[in-house]
Amino acid sequence: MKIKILAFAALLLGLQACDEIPEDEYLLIEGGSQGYQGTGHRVFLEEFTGVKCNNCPAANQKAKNLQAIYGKENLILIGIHAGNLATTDAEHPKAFNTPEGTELFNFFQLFGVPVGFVNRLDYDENRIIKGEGDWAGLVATELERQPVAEINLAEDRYNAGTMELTVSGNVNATGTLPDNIKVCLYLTENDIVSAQTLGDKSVNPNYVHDHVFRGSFSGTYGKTIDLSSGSASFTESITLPSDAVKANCEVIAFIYDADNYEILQSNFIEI
Amino acid sequence: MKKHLVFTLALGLGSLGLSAQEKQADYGQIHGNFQTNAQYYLRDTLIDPQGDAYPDERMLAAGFLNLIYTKGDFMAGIRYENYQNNLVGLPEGFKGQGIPYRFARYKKDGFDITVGNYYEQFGSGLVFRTYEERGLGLDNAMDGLRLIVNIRPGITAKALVGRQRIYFNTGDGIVRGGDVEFNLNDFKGKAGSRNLILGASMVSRFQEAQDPIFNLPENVANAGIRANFISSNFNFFAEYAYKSQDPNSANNFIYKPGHAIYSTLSYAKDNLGILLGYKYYDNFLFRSQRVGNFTEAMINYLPPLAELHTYALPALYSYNIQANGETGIQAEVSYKFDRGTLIGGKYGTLLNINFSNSYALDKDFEYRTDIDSSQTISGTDGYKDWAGPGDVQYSQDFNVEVKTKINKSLKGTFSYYNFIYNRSALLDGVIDDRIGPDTHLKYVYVNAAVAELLWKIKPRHSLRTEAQFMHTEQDRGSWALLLLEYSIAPQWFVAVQDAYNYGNPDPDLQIHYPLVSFGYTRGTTKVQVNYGRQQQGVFCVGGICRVVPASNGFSLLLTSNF
Repeated sequence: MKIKILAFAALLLGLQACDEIPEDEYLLIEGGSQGYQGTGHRVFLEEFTGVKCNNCPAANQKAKNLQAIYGKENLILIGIHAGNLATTDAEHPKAFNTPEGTELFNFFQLFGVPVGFVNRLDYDENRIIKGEGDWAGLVATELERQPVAEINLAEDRYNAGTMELTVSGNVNATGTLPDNIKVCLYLTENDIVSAQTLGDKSVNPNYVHDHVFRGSFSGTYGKTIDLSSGSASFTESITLPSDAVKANCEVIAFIYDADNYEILQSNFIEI
Repeated sequence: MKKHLVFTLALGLGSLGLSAQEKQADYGQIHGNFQTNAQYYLRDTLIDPQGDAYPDERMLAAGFLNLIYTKGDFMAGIRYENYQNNLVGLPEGFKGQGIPYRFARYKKDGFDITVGNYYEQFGSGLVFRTYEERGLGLDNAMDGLRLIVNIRPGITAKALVGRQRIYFNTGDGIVRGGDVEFNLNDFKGKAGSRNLILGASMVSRFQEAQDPIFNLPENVANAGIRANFISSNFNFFAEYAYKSQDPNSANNFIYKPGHAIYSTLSYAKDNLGILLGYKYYDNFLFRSQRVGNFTEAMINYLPPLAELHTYALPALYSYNIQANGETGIQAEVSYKFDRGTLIGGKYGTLLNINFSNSYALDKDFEYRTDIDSSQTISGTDGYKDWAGPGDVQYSQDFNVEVKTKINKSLKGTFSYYNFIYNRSALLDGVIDDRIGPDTHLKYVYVNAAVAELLWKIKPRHSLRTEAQFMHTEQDRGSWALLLLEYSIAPQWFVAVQDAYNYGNPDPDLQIHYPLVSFGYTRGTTKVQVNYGRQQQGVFCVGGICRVVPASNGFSLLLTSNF
């Protein structure tokens, strides 16, 4: 009998614990950019969102706060509007949904927003999709990794009449890469003023949307790139949406392992 | 070895259940139950103009099969689940098929050991409760080990460790816990009308912290003590629980500890019954990971202390627990008027009066300047400890129910409801740190009445009618509902229902929601088919609610057990 009691007491004591954080140690980082020096391995935070999603502005702000800490040269953001909260109605004249965004939303079997991928880690059929509370830890971990490639990107030409934009770039391997790699180029736009449902369910008709995904240069999943020689170049074009403001647009390029969708490196240019 | 082989085969092939039953003297028994729910959706632009709730699949189906094997003190089981895909309004994370629930359990030498999946509850659930509620899409089963020990008569101890189920996966956090309960009568080895039950429990969660902004505690504990005193007329229960610092996505990453008090006092003598209850929940949502949506990975349970309404119209304004903070009371009086009295009539009358309310806590929020220069409570204590009741009312529910038998073949239940319902908080999810002096909170003031009559026409034949009226000038306005249900016991029933939202402020939505149902029971198998339009509503169980979108179409429910 005593053995049972002692065994149980020991089990309970051994199992239980709680950490006490002093008030002056709640925050590890305060203020804005800390001049973070990354390894060169950039992190791509792919946020799925919607203009009718009242929790999305707060999630988007968390992503922006992370970018403020690490710098946009280290953390690249994109807001993909998709799902049934990315639809228009009388209060939301623009929804920013795109065929590619919807395809990604369905392909990754998403069912609600806000959610997001950090470098599309942990993609598999049974994964737990990461909410905004998980992003900070994943971003911090990813930023510490050594880069396996570098992407250089430049604007080639722009036809203002047709709104066709052409960019070119190259990928140089700096580490061990998987065999099956694809390169993908996305167009994003900042400073779009349009309606968004807020946390208290009110609608702000003049909400400023940043990092809005506007389309892909080379399909939803990009094109295969051959890096067997250690480097490869690419040139891709896109016709900007008719309501896009070119000066507010950016082009993001990333390479990923086509077998598990993990993004290996990314970069961006303002155009 | 031979027994193991037979058991494995029997579990793997449900069809072997019969042969196993024939040989139960040798190999134990297999029991099971099956359920499937399928719905074919029709596009209805009146109730869903944007098609938000109209699935691409057109038809959705979800089902499961439980198989339980028992032999003496040994038990094992599996549950196969199938979602192709889950029904609209239920969590879409349940997608695909698999065996997410499997366990083995045996009792020997005073030890009760479970490995695999299990459900468990300590006390009222403030510290720990894992359970399944399919109507909510909630299943937070543990996957790990559980040990129950009867240390001596009257003293029971439990210990567990594992991770919680999230859809077809498990959560990030490791859950460890224990509970000890002392039962005075069992300890003394004698039964009696008086008893004292004391309990203490503790649960801790470990989750790795990698956040670059917040210094997050990796180990978070929740501990509680409880007492239950029972006498011939009184039953008093009280539980207090404390949760250590637990910054998480639901509380906006604040650091103050949580407190919870839940207490009930009931009195019953002769025809009179009285129940009084008090609740105080402050920052007490506890998940096995810091981030979770809806009902995912909830470790504990907060009793709502509010009546669960089952009639369709009053149920539209059911109470939804506010885990970040609330306090309230409940009082209920029931009295049975004897037959032969003025009110009791010829057959007796039961009167039940219920009142409950709930308020936000008076939180004096503490802010800091965030990276983007905005003000945030994240990364602070949030607000002062032990905040009292605040000015923001979440709900008030006053209802009276009279049950009586009018004559030999006619029974009646008549109810009146008066609600104050904070739609912004309870339905729209405007949590208290978003409520400022300028926030416009949408309150709904409801008066409703229901009359239900059950007429036994002749042996096995009965007609049940419900007439419901609900008046409100807010939200979707007033409603009326009429239900006629004809049953031929025990096999058949057919029901016709129409809900009419005649007071909707939008004239285009002053529409009817007709619904026809048909049911057939054979033995332990029941089939029910519905066709029609169902209004948007809120489905609640135990203070946890989900919004059910409006839909139109056919649905099929089949349940069976063996």
